[in-house]
Amino acid sequence: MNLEKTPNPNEQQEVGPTSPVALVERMTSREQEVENKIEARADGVEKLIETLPENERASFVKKLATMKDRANGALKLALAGGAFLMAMNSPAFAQENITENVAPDTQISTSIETPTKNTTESTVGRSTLALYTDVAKTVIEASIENKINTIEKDAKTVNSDNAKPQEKIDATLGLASNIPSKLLGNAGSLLSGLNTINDLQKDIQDPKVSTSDILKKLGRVILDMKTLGFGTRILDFLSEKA
Amino acid sequence: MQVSKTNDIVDLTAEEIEQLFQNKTKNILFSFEDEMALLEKEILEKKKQTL
Repeated sequence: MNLEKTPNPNEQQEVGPTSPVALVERMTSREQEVENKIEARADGVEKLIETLPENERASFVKKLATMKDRANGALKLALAGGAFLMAMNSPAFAQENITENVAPDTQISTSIETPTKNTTESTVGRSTLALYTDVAKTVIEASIENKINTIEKDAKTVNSDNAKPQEKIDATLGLASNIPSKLLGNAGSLLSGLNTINDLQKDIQDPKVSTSDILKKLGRVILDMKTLGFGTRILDFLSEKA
Repeated sequence: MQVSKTNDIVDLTAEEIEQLFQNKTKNILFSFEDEMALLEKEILEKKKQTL
């Protein structure tokens, strides 16, 4: 046993305070705390809206709901994005390591109270793989949804009688660049990734499928997502003001 | 925070990722607070008009 080993900060532990599970638990708790603050603040504004005559309330109620949805959506994406960055940075998913670094199924632990293992080898267990699979799914779905929303918004602007000429030109340019390059170009990879993830979610529940097989499949999805630029985009999203 | 981004290889420690997330949640909350303040102002103006 080498208990005096200095931990490598770049190494993700399966257990302990810097383990993916512990980190995501802390991030989830923070997300819940912020969501509660948003809810409380929105409740206050809702009460103020109720002081208006009934026929004046609808537009404010709608605005408030849109703002709340946007803030909560950004929170959820921040959580998934943070967890996904962890997956991308996990040594377990480094291209050369996809066939290694797998914890035996019998040694998987979901408890953060378990003492930190004393090996220098980075291992990843089924609970962490389940977590990474879920966040990869959230990130891909959010990306597809975002592309569809952008296209729908641009299509509405192009067809709108109220849009200014410059807005129509911008929206047409948006459609021209989004549909072929972003939607069609990446759709195949994104949908294929989503398909693999749906299969992986079933595999994780199936004890007959080995952890190493799950890790290999998930590793390939994560590498594909890296190639598609997800790491940079998530980092930009987390770094921007809001 | 200094973050290396080379060909989309994002090299971050768990602590840095957690810090990024914490900052993002703060920013989301600040932006929401700003939006609520503006909305309250609009509501109060509307209230004045309808009195």
